[in-house]
Amino acid sequence: MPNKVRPVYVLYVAVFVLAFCSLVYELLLAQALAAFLENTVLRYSVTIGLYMFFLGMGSLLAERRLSRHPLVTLCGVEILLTVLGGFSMVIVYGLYAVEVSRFIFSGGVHLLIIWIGLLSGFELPLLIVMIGALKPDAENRVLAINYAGAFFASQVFAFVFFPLMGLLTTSLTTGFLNACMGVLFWACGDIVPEESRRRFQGMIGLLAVFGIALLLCLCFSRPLAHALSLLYLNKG
Amino acid sequence: MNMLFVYSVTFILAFCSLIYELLLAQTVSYFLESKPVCYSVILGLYLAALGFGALSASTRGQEQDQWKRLLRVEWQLSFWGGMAVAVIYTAHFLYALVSVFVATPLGAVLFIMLTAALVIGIGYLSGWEIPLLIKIGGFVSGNPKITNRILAMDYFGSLAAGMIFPLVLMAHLDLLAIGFMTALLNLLIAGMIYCPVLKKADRPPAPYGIAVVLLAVVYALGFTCERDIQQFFLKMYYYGYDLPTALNARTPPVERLLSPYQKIDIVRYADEDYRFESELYSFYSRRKRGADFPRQYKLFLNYQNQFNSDYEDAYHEYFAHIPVILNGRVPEDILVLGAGDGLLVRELRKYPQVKKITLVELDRKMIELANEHPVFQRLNEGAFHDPRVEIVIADAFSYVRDSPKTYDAIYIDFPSHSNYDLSKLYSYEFYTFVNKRLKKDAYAVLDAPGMFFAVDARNSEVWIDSRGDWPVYYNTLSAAGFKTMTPYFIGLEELDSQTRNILLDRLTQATVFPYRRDEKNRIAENLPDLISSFVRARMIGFIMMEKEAGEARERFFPDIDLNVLNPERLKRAFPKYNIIKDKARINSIMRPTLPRTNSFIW
Repeated sequence: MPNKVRPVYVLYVAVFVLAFCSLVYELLLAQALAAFLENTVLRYSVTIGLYMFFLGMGSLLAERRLSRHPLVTLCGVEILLTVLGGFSMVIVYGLYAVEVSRFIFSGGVHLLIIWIGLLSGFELPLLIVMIGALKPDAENRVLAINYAGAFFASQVFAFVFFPLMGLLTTSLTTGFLNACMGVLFWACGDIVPEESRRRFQGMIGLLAVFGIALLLCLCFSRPLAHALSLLYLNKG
Repeated sequence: MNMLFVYSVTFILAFCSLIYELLLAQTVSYFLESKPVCYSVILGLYLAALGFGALSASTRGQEQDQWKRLLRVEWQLSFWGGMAVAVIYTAHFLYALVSVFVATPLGAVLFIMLTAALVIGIGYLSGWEIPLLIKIGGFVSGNPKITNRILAMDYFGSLAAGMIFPLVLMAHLDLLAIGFMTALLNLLIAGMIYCPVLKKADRPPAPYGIAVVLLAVVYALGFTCERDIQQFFLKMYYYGYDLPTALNARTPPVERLLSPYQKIDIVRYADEDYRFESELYSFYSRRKRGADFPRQYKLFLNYQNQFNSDYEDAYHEYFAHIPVILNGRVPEDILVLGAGDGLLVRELRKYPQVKKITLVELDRKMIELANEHPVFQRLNEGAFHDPRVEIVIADAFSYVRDSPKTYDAIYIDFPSHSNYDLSKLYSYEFYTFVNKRLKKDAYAVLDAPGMFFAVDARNSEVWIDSRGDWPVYYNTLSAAGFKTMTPYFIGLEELDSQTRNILLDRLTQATVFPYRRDEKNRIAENLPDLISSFVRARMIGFIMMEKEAGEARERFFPDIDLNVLNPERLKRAFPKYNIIKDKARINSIMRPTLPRTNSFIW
């Protein structure tokens, strides 16, 4: 059945891209924390640890959130991830600039790590449920694609994003990519039942809005980076 | 059999797998120039192999079949995981061996292929685990939708590994021991699968079980005599992969100290290997190196050479005194960042005018070493006991950012920017804060790794090689608001023919290690080349920067006891350089340009 096969491949692409974005957010936050707070080794490991832990919590919670259609839930997750991840560096710099106490800054950034971890944890179970409904026994393949996305992320982050683009541009680009997934979800919109259609469409619209916002920031990333750097340096 | 067991197994196996991966990345990263590249390549290869393993995992059959497969996977995994560190050390040995005979990148290719094979192998085997455990979980719980919980346990195991590896294991155990310990944990699971889980009919034949026990015994033994094995590999590494030297009981052991931040190695090299350079150096340094002098000690932090006890006086004198000379007056209130060995402070406290020296060091172990280790005590002459010295254990970046004080001079002495964590200490943000901590006429000076020098053969002028990191430093420091940057370097002179003859005479008459006549002839033939390469090896660059484009002050040569630096050498200390203005080269936290990404094996 061709109308059943197409969504499967679209969802495979989503698995790959979402895994990619998740790992890039994680690497970004670890790198940013290492840059802002002392005791790099500790900060790095705590970041990775928290992220992994809440990834696990997210996947556990995802099980209980299946009352709504998984694609609709996934759209909601992606909206939050786009905002939190795409603007993560703006948030981190902003938090630093308005810092009341070190404790609040540190707490805020860790909260960001936890939220991104938790939301990313939702992704894989939701996608497995959706793909499983269309094509049983695809679990291993989904896992493999997920790993491949993470592999790609680690390479691109180390060789392209970080050395050539820096933290801010990387976060904006990745957020934009994340928002672009809305187009893919739109493409397999027919698997969403009729009663959730409206909500689904609203969410896609929201994703588009944030995508455009990120694109605008990307166009002005140089002055934005400069402004954020000044905010940071004037604290000292 | 209940689900608790399945969850525990998932947790422990995920833990072991991630530890193997971190272990591999950590071990290999010591041998590679560019650490982020190494980390990401290994992480990437591992993830890809994990995916490939998960994809090719066959999960046909009943519960017992899955357990049997898992047993096979675990047994192989614990073998390779436990051996991983030793295999990489050996691969590096092969690399060094091949490089001696063939000057092609063959050795490097061999090293990378061996390492990659190991990473892929371990990743592939680990990839089998989750599909098998999901299937097992489905059988045990009777609910085929157990996937998420198994995945969650897998994440928790990874969390534990990600936290415990850097916080606990790296700080207390050496890499080999971590490998053995993890492999033992892995074998324990294999053993539990073999005995209580698998029914008698399903068990692989007895020799199989015996092999598991044997491997466990080997690793337990390895864990208990880990120090000896580690010593062997350390000696191999530091003494140039010379098997007889490494096995010789009389070879001095490599002193290794672990701290949460770094591996500190103190290596004693045999005088015989360095007697020529040592004798040569006595023409440059007036330092008395008597019988009690700790000759030929080298300090390595994470395998990166910090100083050599014989030649460090040149480095620290140039570092400490040339800025004072250029600035025209002795600073009263000095901030020193890094330099926990106390050698720079030894130089600075020679000035009676200095009122206070604040030293900020991250690693408490380094301060303990400087105060308690006999070699360090002898070299730094108890510098930290000077009442003018205050030691602060803190991260230098946070210190300059948060401290409200200003100083007359700031000395910046950090390890080379070999990874992005250290790159932060070479960023324009950091230098901006340094600038803010300076008084009006004050200066800062940094030891600038990655600055290379080229000698113009026609007029023997020394130039800074613009292909090195100099343009990055220049642009970064200008962006941080410094007005004047003065690069300088240790430019020792070549010896004239008369002095060369004296040197040759001394070599044969030397009482400690006299040279034979034929050896002397060989050295005499190559003497100018040998001296040149010695002088070139000492060429280390520094950059002094000032807040203001200050009016020219009168230089003075300080009236203190110096071994190497003299007015004659001072004139040779300033290389010619080109200025390449390029905003894209600024090293910042947001967009690091150091270390530059060209990796090669050490």
